[in-house]
Amino acid sequence: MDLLLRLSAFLASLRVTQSKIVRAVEALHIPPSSNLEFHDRRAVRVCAVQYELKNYSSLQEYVSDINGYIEKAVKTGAQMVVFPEGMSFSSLSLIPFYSKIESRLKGTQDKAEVLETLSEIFVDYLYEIYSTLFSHLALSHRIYIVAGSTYLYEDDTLRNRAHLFGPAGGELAVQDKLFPSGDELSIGMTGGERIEVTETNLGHLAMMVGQDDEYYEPFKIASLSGADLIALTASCKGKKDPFRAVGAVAARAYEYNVFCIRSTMVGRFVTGEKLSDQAGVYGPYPCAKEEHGVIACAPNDTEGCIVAARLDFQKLENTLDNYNSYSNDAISAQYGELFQDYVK
Amino acid sequence: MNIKVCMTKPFSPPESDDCTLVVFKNGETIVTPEYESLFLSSCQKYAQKYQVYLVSCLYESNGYLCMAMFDPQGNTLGVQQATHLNLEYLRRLRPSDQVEILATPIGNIFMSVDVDIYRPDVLRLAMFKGCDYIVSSQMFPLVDFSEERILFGARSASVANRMPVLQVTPFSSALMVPPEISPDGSGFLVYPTGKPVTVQFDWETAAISRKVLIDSLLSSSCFGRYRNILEK
Repeated sequence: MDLLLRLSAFLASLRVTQSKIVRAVEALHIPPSSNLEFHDRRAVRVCAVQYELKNYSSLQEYVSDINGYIEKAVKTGAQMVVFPEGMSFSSLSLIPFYSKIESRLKGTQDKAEVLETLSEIFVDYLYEIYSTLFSHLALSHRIYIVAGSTYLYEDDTLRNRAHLFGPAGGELAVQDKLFPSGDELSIGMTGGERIEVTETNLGHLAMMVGQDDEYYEPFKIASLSGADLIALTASCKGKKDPFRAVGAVAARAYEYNVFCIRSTMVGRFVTGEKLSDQAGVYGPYPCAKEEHGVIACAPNDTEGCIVAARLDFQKLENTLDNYNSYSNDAISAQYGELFQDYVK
Repeated sequence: MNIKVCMTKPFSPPESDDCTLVVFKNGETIVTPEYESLFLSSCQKYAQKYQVYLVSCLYESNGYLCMAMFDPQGNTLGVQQATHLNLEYLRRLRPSDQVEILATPIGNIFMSVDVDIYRPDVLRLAMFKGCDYIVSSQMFPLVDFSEERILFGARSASVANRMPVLQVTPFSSALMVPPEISPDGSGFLVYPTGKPVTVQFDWETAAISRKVLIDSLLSSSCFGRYRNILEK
């Protein structure tokens, strides 16, 4: 198996190169959008992608499919498009001998072992496609793309890292997943040490990966560091929580007065695990009272689609809520002390 | 540890004879200071009469918004004052700066007074102080009551802190647990309902996932760096 995987990785590196990816993007003849020519904090257009995993038979088919989501988003006026966690795995089906590898991996009981194998052997290949593709798609469409996340090694440390590409194609910011999952911990992944807030033409953006949205702390840090918008790149395996959107993401938006865009992945992972979750856009309750904090949400959790919304960041300055507007400094100070001993 | 809890209107008899804990829902208004003494002595008598642990509804005492807990002998186990207040109460009441966990034979309990259930800093303090489960009592006028207010508050508190939350409002009772330990994955053992609720639950089932959460917070190399922000 190991030999097959290594042979596949070697052949993949020959089959899919940076220049081939660029040519595949150019072959789409993407007209640059004017979505970012005018920008106003009162009308920021964003889009969350609910990406459906597929098996692709060619690089061109793969690039066209990813571009399809962005094209739809751009037509709605989107200035920023957010893809889900683990987006680099979307190109996995392009590797040589994929069917053989997939059928073997599906039978593997130890899912962490699969993750370890894939991230060790294919990490460079997957990262190269991911970064080249999204950089060129951001440049071609002249929009911001939060490209979901990818695994990569940095100083021999495995990270799950989200990237923001700007309209000039440059990498503007990265964010490491702060809280690795159980599987990720078991393969030695390290959580991030910082929460980056990036100034864009649209407003201040923070990114979060996976189940980081279950924790209060990253939201508080991002919000008090000036973030208007948090891009959550998610990818949930296992039992579905039907109230996750309102009971967690919209709750964080309410608690910390930020807008949240949450992208998701649906379909089946290479291990056979089912992914099902709904993408959406969420805001503080007073900004989206009619919608109960859910500004827009995908119609189902099984098919690929986009979720577009127009946000008014100026509303964040006036979100007085009778139930959540008073903060007790003495309690906040005690809470801060909880983290005193955590400095490493 | 399994306990049987009844969430019901103040001073209504428990629905079942073998209830361990009774939580009073709120009435149309909070109990005002002139009735405080009568209210508390009535709570003591209720706990004695029905041989239950009792968590009271919201009442005003010495300028604070409070909840109290009594043991089956009628003794007061503790009082929690609200640490946060809605804007209306803030005009006439004071916030407390104490988060107390009641160590009782039926678990370590935090009584979340009214809007404290929306405050992550309060809930995290409770979790780090060893709370096993939360009893949340909220006051809403009907015009503000919505399912989402419960999802944003009590349900979010249960998920984010990996602990059961018993919650009452004037219009509803509910029991929430971390979704992974609820049979249908919804996180609700009892979905908010206007009817009196009697339900049995094991507060220890969430302990493992809470330990995982605490360990992941402790092992994070991120938060110490931002302590100056977290304490704001």
